[in-house]
Amino acid sequence: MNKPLHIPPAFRKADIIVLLLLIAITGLCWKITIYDDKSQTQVEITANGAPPLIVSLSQKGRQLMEVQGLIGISKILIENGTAQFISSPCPHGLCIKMGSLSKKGQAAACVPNRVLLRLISTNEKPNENGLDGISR
Amino acid sequence: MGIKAALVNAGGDLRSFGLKPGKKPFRIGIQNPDNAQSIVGILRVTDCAVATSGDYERFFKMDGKRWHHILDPKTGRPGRLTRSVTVIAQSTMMADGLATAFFVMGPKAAIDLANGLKDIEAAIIAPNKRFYMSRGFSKYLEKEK
Repeated sequence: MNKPLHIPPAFRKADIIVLLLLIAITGLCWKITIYDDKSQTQVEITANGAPPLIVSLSQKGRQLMEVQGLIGISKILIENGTAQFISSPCPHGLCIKMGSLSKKGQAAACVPNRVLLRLISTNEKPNENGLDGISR
Repeated sequence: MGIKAALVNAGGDLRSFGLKPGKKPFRIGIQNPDNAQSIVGILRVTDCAVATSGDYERFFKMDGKRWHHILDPKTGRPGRLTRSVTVIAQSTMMADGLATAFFVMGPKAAIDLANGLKDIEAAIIAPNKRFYMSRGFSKYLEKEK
């Protein structure tokens, strides 16, 4: 006589706990490493050595900024948590080709017009201590 | 492109040329090996490179010991004579290479070597927090106000 086949349940209680833990850990890792909270991000715009202009990245709608640089006006669009150059008087338009910035630490520059666009944390004080860099 | 001054920062290794508007030199902080949020001094530089090697950037701790990425070729283990070395040189490649070599050599031998090299200055922080400098390094240090 054949022994009845024992099929284990798909999930035991412990399996469900492990699965939930894995989902929670994955979510936490995503939050820490990939997810970029736009309310914590701001755009720092520096033009021709002038004190930086700070704009929040979390604002609603579309904001077009015109910044006077060394050789003309650079237009910067801030929209949907991103910032980008859309026009600049430089000969090659490399700053426009750099595309939209959306994560903290990203930067785009129009070197001929001396305009720098940088995404920074709201906690980060622009150019702290007046330092130009830190050797580490 | 007509650029008269710039500071290039490649992950903490820097090369500057020219002077900032107002004819001011670039101000570079040297990171505190014990606290990433603070600095131990400020350098005023132009037309030179600054690189720092330290045991605080890439490491793990095991059995209460810090195991970092700068290995002493004599032992195959992380160098223990130094916490951080900052080198000023004409090229970033030279500054970075010497910073790592000086780290492994230890403060006294490294400062002796730096004093004998042309256009090279070095500052070293030892594990006992003592600060060693080559002869010409202090001329780059910003004096506290």
